[in-house]
Amino acid sequence: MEAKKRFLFVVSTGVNEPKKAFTPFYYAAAAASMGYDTHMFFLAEGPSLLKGDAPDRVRTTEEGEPLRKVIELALRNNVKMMCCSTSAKVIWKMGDGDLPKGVDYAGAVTLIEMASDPNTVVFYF
Amino acid sequence: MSSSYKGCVFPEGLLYDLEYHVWVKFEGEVAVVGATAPGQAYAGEIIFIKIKDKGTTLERGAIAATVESAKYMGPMRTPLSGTITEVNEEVKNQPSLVNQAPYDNWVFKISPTKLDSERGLLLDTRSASEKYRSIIDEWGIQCG
Repeated sequence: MEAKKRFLFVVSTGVNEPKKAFTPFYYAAAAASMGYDTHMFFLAEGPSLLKGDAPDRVRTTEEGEPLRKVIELALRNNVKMMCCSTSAKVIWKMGDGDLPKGVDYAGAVTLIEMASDPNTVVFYF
Repeated sequence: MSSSYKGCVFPEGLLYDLEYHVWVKFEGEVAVVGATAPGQAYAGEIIFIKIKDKGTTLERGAIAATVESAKYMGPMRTPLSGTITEVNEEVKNQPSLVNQAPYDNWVFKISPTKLDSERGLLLDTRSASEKYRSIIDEWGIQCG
C-alpha cells in the first residue's frame, strides 16, 4: 500500500513580518482539507506568532482579520502544530502553558525525522 | 413545506447530515449531495472547489471535495459510503453557484454501498431545521 503523503510547513518568520504570518496557516489548512496529513513546525521567529496575545494582535492589514482566525481554521482542519521548544523557551521565554490549545512542544529530532521522510513535502516560510 | 431560520432554508424532501453539513436527495439508486444553506453561509463566497473524480470510492466521512473561500478552507465530506458517479461541472466552473442556490446546485452524486446502515444517520427536514437553530446561532451566520 502506498504511504500517505504528508505536508510539513516550517515557519521561521514571526510577528516581525505580519504580512507573511497568515500564508502558512492558510496553505496548511488547504492541504489538511484535501485529506493530507499536515503538520506545522514553528522555530526561530515562528513561536512569536503563538505567544500571548499575538494571535489576536497580528493582522496582515489594519482592517484585516486577526491571525487567530487562520490558526483556528488550520486546527479545525486537523493540522498538527508543533513548536520548537528551544526557540520558544530560549528566544521567546515561553513556558509550558504559553502555547495555544492543540499545539505541542517538539525538538529538532522530530523535525529532522519528519523532513527526512520521502513521503513528506516540506514548505519553508 | 420547507422550514427556515435566519434566512437559512431547509426544503422538504431532502435528507440532511448535520455532521458534514450536506443535504442528500435520492434519485433511484443514486444519492445526490450538496451543501446545506448554513454550510455554504459559514464558508462565505466560494471561489474554488475541488471535487474528487468520478469513479472515486469513499467511506462515509471521507473528503469528497475541498472548498475554498476568501476566509475559509475546508472539506466537504461524503455522508454515504460509495462510489462517485458524477460531479457537477457547472459548480466546478462556477463554485459560487453553491452560495446562490445551495439546493439547486448539487456537488456530486454517489452510488451508496452501505445505505442500510448509514441512511439512519441522515435527518429529515423537520429534525434538521430544529437542530440547525443552535448551530446557526453558534456560528453567528445569516443566510441570504
